[in-house]
Amino acid sequence: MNIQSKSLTNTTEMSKQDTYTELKKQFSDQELVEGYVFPSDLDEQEKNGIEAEFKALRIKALKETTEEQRLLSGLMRMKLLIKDYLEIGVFDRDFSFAKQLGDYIKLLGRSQNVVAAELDFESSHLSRLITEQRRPTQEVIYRLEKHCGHVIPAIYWWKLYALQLEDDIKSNEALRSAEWEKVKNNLKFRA
Amino acid sequence: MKLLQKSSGLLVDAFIAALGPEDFAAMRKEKGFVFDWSLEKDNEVYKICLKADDTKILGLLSMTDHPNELRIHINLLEVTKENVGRSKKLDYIAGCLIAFACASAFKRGYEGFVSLLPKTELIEMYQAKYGFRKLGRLLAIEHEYSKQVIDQYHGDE
Repeated sequence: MNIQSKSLTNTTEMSKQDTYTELKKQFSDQELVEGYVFPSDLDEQEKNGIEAEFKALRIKALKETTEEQRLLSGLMRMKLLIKDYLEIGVFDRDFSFAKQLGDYIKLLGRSQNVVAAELDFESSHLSRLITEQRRPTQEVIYRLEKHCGHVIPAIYWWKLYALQLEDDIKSNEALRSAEWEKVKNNLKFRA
Repeated sequence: MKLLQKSSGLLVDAFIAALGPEDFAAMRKEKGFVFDWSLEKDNEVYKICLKADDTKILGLLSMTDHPNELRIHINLLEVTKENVGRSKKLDYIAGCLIAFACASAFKRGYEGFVSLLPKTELIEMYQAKYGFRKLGRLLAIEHEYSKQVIDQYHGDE
């Protein structure tokens, strides 16, 4: 779908203004904003003027964005992409717990040592989590939830790991065979 | 995300998805929409439905991506007439669609920036209801205000 700057030119048998006037007779202003964003009824020249003015204001606003706002935006982006991933529910290495934890630290722009101290971990512990030499615990998850200002809830961090573990349980034949070797006197049933 | 069923007071699961060609073909004004949505085909158009009944479209959102300005613009949003006003059956439909635009604006790296061109009489209402601010002739929402709309209407589930 072409999504580039094809501004609305919605027209019906009734003009857009007539439609709005009709709806205004039926609903209060409060009810209208809970049901509609109305299409533009400006001509091309007016529209272009407004767009040009707005573009300048938008660029100015971008320049005035604070570090805190940038960080919040980055975290929201991360959270919403994790949410989409969890809804799909198919393990993807880009969304492993370790990868997302590493991305989170990059987003903060702080060193691993600093973040480890803030989380009250040994630096080596955080490093092992990022390199998948250690598995996250419930305690780790809760600390991350607080550290990120509750933007990414504990359950999201946990589900990142749970989805990876689920995938590993299904596919790790080497570990399955090794563990089966250790089992004695297992129950047997006729097929 | 959840919509409020007014009769029971219960929250019911809903979802938002892109409008497919089959949806455009099936859309008729008599199904509760006043505007001609077939004219939105060149824009990004999304529908909101209940998970329990994905055949009935409850609301529609048309938006345009402005990557050079890092913003999403809402061209048109419409809730089915039976869900507008005092006798509406379901609430939060428009809020969920606006929150979807805000979420898209975060995911695309636009810092949650969403704009719309309001009817002059409704400016204060959009500001009070969703947290938009005036920027030139348009209304805009971004950053923590955009997050608030997402938190309010989509939640974390």
